[in-house]
Amino acid sequence: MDNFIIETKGLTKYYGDTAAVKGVDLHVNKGEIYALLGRNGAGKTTIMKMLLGLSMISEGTVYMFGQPFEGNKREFLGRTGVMIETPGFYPNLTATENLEILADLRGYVKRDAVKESLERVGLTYKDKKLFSAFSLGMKQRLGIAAAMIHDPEVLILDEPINGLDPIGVMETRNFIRELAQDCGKTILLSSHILSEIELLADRIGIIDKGILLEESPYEELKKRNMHYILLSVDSTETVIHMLEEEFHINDYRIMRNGCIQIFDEGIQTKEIVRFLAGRNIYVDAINKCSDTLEDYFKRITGGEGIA
Amino acid sequence: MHMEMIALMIICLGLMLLLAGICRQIKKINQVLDEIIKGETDRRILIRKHSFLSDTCYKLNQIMMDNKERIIKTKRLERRNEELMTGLSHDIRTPLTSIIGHLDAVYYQYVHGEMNAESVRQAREKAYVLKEYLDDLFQWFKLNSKEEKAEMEPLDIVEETRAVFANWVADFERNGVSYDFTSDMDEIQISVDRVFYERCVNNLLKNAMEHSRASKIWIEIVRSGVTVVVKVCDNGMGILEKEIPFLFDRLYRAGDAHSSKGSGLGLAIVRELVLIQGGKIFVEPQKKGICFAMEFPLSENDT
Amino acid sequence: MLNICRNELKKLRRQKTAGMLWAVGILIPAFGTLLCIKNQYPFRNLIGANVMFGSFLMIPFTFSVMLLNLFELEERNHTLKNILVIGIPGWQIFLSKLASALVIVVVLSGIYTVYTVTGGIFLRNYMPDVVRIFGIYLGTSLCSICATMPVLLLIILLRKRNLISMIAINCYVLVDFLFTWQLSMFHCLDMHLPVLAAYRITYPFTILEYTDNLQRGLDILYYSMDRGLFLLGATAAVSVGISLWLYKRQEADV
Repeated sequence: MDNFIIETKGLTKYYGDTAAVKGVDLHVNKGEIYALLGRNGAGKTTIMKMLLGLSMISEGTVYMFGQPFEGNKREFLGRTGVMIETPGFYPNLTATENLEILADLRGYVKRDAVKESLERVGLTYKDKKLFSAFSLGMKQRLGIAAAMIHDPEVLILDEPINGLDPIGVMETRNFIRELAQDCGKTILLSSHILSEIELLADRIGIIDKGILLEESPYEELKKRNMHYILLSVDSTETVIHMLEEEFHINDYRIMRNGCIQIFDEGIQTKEIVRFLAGRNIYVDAINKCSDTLEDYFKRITGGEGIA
Repeated sequence: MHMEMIALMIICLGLMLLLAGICRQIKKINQVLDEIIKGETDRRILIRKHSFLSDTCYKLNQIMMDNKERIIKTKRLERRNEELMTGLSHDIRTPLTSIIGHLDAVYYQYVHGEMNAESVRQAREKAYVLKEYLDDLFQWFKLNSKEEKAEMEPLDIVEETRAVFANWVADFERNGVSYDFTSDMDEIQISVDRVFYERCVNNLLKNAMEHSRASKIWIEIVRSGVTVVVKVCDNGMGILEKEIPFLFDRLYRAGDAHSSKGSGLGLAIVRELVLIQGGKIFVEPQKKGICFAMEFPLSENDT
Repeated sequence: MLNICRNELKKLRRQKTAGMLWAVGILIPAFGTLLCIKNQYPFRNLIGANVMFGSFLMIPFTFSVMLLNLFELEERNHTLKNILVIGIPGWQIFLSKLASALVIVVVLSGIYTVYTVTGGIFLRNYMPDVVRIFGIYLGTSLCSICATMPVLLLIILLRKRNLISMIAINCYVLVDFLFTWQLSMFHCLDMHLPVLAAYRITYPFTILEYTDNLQRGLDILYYSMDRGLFLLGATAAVSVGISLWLYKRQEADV
């Protein structure tokens, strides 16, 4: 319990009789990027809301910085920066005025906290533009600025790249990575976009129907995934016959485009290449592959893809 | 009587509340400081904007944040150095592998007769390339760690540049490149380090020769106001607009990055050398080709 | 808490609803004062008119609409979570909005005082006792606000549906006003409505000069002070209490 920045034990939420979230045991280490992966409606946002006290917890406890959340709410929230769902601000005020209200309520860490926070995300300080005239990208950026005014140690971001254009996605991704690597902040984010998670996450938690199916470091996940050799040749049947004879393979699949997926363990690509070359077979391509994150997700949630 | 008593009581009450508020804030600050002492250097003190203690808290936070900045800078530097190391090992390994390959061929007698001589020739060539690269690298390291000092002396930049340019004429003719040298005035006095300056011009000309595939390379010397600008130009491939900010990055190779000729250090070194002599360097893309411009301040007696 | 109130008022900057309410609150009594001047009413009638139409109509109206605006602001813009995530408990947000609306009431009373004092210069029997006049307006406004407090319940229950809530609170305010205005209607004096109590217990203080009819009016309108205050206090306390409880229950799932 000492090392985890955020930890939950048996977090559960009931809406009436149905459990939206059941028995979730989250563990987030200091300085890492933890990604909650799940479909829409799997319970990611509900979990985040419960972590912050925005939603009532039916069962279970939340621990932050090693202490229970309940008694130290104000202090812990002062060390956490949050962006949940769509960032909400007052449309009749400018960005600066909006942030100044939030900073006034929470407290300042330095004199120009608002100015620096805005400039960090690329917005102008004391700009006359009202929030109602902001584009989606600017709104998202203001949301991040609002989460960062007080230089928090932990950031909780709900779908931070939602609705951004590709450049915005890349900028946000670099920004988050810089925060975790250089500044040592702990980041809990949720997303249903697998490609982004693959680029960012140190640790992944897979949520489906309110249950945390798996929680492990991304590297481990990649290693554990199914390995197979992908072989592309001209005469598939002949080759299969040869390989069966020579290597006794029996766990293989022939794909639609004629490529062979060999799942048998213990066979090395170099052996196959040498053997086939010896028999004068032209090998078009040979690759060592593993399940993509999407395939893994599909398998572990027993259903359709992530979207 | 009554009104004054009530007013006094209200004032007293107000002061007491103020004091209580300040005490509470001090208590909170102490709690945070306790945690910082224990090692949680990321803690920050949150305070209202218009409190008596605001300035104190801001300053405490500033101290912690400056500390953090230093740690972050060090981390970033470490990461850049790691990248440099990786790039380095690649740039050294490649020619070295080739040299070993050739020498092995000779040693194990895989090749015979003239092929032998050819292998040795190739190995020797690659060895010199490696040496040149390491010289470049060492020079760059010295420049980067600010160990090099420029020994400035007054000289005529036009004459100096002409002399260096003249050395390349043979190369130009051999490769069918046309050349030209123009200058505003016949004599312009500035203060530079002679060796460094020659190096700069040589590097720029080498860069133009090796990478731009130009048919014409020329130098222009222009005097403008209190500075003199020396431009090394070519009419070759030029550079894409978006690559300009990275040109002088030590490992960057624009455009035809798959060519193995030259290290990425040439331009980076030029930049460091120009800066250390008190000048500026910038790039002017042409319609066809590019101009590298070095700007130096004029000597006092010539302004 | 003061901090939170100040920030609530900051949120009203450049807002159309707030601007309109301020305009209404400032212009209409000006208009009323001018009317009185034109018809050359005696000064005490000016005060009486301002109490009736100001404290018992305009101020409850501006108070409730402004309060609805403040609560609905957070709903519409999804900003409540921003404040909750700072660590400010729901009840503090609730009470600070209430307090901000009260601030507006006090300011409007002040404006009425200014108008009355300036307008009175042109009328007969002018009594330039500014403090007393401000006291009258403030007192009557506060009493009428206490009587209007149940509107808070309506706001909390209906704030997610803007149009319905607006209609509901306006109806409430109008009905209350009708009762005070037409005291003789529907045997109102038999009812122990909070708003009637508010009017009746403050009536004696709004009298500036004694005329002959006055004693009879006072006898008819008499309502014991402590009972009246208790009724008003109870209305206010119960309304705020229940609304706060409802608010907390609703916001448990923001």
